[in-house]
Amino acid sequence: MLETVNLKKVFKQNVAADDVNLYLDQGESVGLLGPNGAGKSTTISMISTLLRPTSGDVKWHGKSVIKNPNEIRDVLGVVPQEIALYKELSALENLKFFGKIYGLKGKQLDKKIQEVLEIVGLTERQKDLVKTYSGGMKRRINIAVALLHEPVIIIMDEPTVGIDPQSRNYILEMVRQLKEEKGMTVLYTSHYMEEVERLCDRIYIMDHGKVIATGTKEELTSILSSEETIIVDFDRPYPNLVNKLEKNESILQVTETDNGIKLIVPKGSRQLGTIFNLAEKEEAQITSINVQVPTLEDVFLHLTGRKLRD
Amino acid sequence: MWSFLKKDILVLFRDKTELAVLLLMPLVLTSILGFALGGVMSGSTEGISSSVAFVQKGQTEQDVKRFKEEVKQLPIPDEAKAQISEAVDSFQPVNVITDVFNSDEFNEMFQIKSMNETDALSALSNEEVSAILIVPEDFTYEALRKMVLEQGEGSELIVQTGDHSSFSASIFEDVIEIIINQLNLGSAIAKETGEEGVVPSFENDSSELGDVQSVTDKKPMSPLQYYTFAMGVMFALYVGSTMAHKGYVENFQNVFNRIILSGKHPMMYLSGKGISTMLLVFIQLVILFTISVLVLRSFMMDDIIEWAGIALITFVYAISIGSVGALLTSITMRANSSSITGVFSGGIVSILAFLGGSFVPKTQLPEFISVLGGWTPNGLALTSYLQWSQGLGFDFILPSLIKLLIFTIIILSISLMIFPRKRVV
Ligand SMILES: Nc1ncnc2c1ncn2[C@@H]1O[C@H](COP(=O)(O)OP(=O)(O)OP(=O)(O)O)[C@@H](O)[C@H]1O
Ligand SMILES: [Mg+2]
Repeated sequence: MLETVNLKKVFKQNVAADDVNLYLDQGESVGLLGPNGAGKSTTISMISTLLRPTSGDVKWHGKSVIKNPNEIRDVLGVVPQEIALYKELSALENLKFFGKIYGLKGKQLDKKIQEVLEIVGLTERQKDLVKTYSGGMKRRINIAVALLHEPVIIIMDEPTVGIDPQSRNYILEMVRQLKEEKGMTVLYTSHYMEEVERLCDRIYIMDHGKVIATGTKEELTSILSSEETIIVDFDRPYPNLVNKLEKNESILQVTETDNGIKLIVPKGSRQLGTIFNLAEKEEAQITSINVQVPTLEDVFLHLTGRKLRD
Repeated sequence: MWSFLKKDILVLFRDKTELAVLLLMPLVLTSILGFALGGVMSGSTEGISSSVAFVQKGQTEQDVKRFKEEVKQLPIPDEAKAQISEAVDSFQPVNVITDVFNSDEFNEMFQIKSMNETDALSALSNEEVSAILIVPEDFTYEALRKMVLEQGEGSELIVQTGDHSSFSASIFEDVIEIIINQLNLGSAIAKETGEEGVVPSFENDSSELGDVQSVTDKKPMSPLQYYTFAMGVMFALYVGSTMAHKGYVENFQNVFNRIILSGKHPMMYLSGKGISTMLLVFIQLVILFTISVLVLRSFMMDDIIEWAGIALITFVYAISIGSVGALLTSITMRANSSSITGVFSGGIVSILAFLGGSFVPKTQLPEFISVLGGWTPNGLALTSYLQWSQGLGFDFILPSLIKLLIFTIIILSISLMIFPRKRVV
């Protein structure tokens, strides 16, 4: 339904998006996962016709949106990363203004406004000025505005960034309902892998402007199916131990965590004994040990050698 | 389009303090400047504003006697002599002055204190009076000689003002001069000023003086009236930068994207800003003029035509500031920074206001400055207001209004050129 073809954006020397190819099918929810500066917002801006690509194209039902942006604008609901609202106005006044510029009028507009307020759970507070809202409430109204004109696709750019867990849960649940109950197609951007794991049918992982992996959650984690993760916590840091583990060739990756270390080892390679032995030699006190199946976080770490959030 | 306008106005009304500053500041400044430079509580009905001392040297009766003696020596028929001396008994130049002093109109503006010269001088230096009118010795004699016999140099009335010479002192001078001119007392006025050039050359409002008429053919203008217009055109400029700045703090970047996504032409945003700037300027000036006229009683117009002229000038000026608002919005959006509105309200407004004559009357500025000022929108508007309210006709203000409209068109075209359209794919 919607696809990008070798989408590229260069800012001066900085390549923000590099040959991005992705697609969205009717009714599916797709996650775009990547660390800060990966190029998620840039890609989304190009898809939503707000930024002209340096090269490549965005196609809506096979037609380029660059030449004819209005067609896709009608069916697109964009929730920007920043709060795009008039803070001096109330939620109601904001919705009225944006509803009107979308051509809604009178009773129809009022009905629609109450409907989206219901969805984001702010019916009670609609008369309050946006600047008096909490971070989570602002985010919710920010989403409400994008729903006014009954879009077919909703594109959300990190809608949960910097808010409390409760609001975050509310938003995630809301997105899930939009998809399941209203059959909306969702493109959801985040650097929280839990969110993407929970919401999305398919996931694109981006880094440095490039899509580095794609697939369902299962497909992606199966990249790591031949590996497992061992998390060992110690009473204090043991740099020598880390050194020795790193030198051990059968351990693929060693990362220090807050309380100890995280190791990636080939599946079934029985490294626990080695770890215990080395710990004994260093007189390191193990407080807990945990063997995990891989997460998207691990996938990202595996692909880039870096963590999703530094 | 209407929704853009409504939104802009709504946003504006949310920040009551800012709105109050925009709408009321010119009024406050007008009063301060009008009163400080004017020193006249002009217009208030009880309005006793300043005291002047009245010093009469010499004796009127002695002068009259002396004059009659002289008439007796003249080689004219006795009948004529008798007529003259009868006339002199009933008409004495000083009485003209004291009559004026006793009139209600005069007493509204000045409080007259008769005293001797020494007391008067010390009262002047103690700032108890703002001016002294001295009727010199031999005044009646010399004046009569000049008036009746066309002999001698006539006499001089002396108006002495102090170092702190206020505006009311200069009005007083003018009043005396008017009296002399009107009644042709065979007298001139000698000004003794402690300090020169501190008094702005305004004329007093003739309506205060009832039937005493101004000597100029133009209508006189009070400082309050001048500053009402001067501050009005200056503060209108601030509206332009405020609207653009509002756009910036409203994070237009994000909001603007939404507007583009709605399929609306981005130009709507700009026109909304321009028109709301225009409306606000118009409202601001209407409020200023209304309060200035009704409360400060700064000026009065005789008929509806004159008010219509003021309204027309205000309207044209509001349009031109609307274009300034649009330009500043364009630049702010293009540069994605609010620095231009800061520079504009922090410096450019003051420069324009100075050039345009909002601080110091144009006539007192060096010529090249007032020529430059003639190219500023506020200068053009101020000139139009002044000319119109002085009774100069439509023909006089038309060129300024046309220049203002040309200015508007130029500024609008520039803002359209600068406006960042590249955001639209
Ligand atoms: N207008 C711009 N001009 C220049 N560089 C830009 C611009 N917008 C983005 N970039 C650069 O492009 C890169 C990708 O930015 P982008 O905002 O797309 O990242 P992101 O994945 O959305 O990150 P985040 O998670 O922080 O939102 C960054 O290096 C950024 O500095
Ligand atoms: Mg982003």
